[in-house]
Amino acid sequence: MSARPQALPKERTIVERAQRGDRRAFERLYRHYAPTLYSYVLVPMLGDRDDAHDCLRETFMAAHRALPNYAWREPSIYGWFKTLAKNKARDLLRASGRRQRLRGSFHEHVEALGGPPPPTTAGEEEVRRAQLRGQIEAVLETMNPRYAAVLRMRLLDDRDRESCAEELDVKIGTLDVILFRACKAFRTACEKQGVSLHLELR
Amino acid sequence: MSDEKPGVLDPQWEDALRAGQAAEGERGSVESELAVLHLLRHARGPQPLEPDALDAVWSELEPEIAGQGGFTTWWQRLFDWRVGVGVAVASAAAAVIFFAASPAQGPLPPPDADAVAQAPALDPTLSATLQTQFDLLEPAARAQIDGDVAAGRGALRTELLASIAAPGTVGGAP
Repeated sequence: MSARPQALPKERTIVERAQRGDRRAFERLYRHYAPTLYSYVLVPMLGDRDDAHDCLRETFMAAHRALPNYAWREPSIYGWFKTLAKNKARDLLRASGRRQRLRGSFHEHVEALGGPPPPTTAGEEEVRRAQLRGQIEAVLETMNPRYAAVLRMRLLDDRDRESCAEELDVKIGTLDVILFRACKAFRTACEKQGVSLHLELR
Repeated sequence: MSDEKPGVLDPQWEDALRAGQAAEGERGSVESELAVLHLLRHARGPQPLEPDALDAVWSELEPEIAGQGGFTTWWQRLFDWRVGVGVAVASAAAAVIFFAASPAQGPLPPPDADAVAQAPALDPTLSATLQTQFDLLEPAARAQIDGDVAAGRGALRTELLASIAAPGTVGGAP
């Protein structure tokens, strides 16, 4: 996956070709931007792999229909694709109802913790993720050290359950309890810092 | 980042939360905790779109966008142009044959039998040529018309389904 895609070389020309009906040009835009839209926009909004795939397809279908009316804006077409993707995800969430809306969606958390969005560029998502990581570390510093440790080891450092349990000197089953409590404690710590992790769509 | 590590949306994360919740003697939704967990995994590394999935979505997308009728290659446009000329020639030939060969209709008085008998006959060579041209061009023209109707119907159906599925984005505008 291209974690930080820059605009394609001569992207404006490629967009214009796609607007004139060049399928290869449209495919090139799709292959360049779909991974970023999936990873940084649709998965956080939907919290579900299949829904994100469906929305990705719907996004590019809508983009193809609307492309003849698209007016180029520097530095990239990415911002336009992103707007379409967010609209499609919101449509899907509204259609699927509140229960699915809450299911693992963390887009609002990214918005709340990541600070103000950087200028719209093809690399904005990676900038925002770096901001998010810094803010998470700041929240972890305020938490019970045991809870902070399990979140760091399991979720941020990719350590397996066995080594985490050994490090904390607990059984595997107890590690799951600590992880569950730690996720709750993380929300509380955010709220103490004035960051409300609500789960409603805006 | 190792590909063997569980991604943001790996089901094992919810399983771990459920196990912890059960050990605590609690019941109910773990969606809030799951969202926090997904957030931290995303901060570590976002859920990737695998190359196979990228291809799979494109393979679903390609016939749909082809049905929208916006994409044609230069050689397809050239073919369409030639077929269009063929249709025009066929129409002209058909009109000539119709007016040359058809008897007058409507309230016109019946033709004078003597005048008809004395009128020069249509040059059989020209008539045969026009008929040959018509026979050659008619199938392509009919196929083109059928194709246009089918494509138009498909495009309209796609638009209607899209507008029903996503009423806030009719026409695909942001």
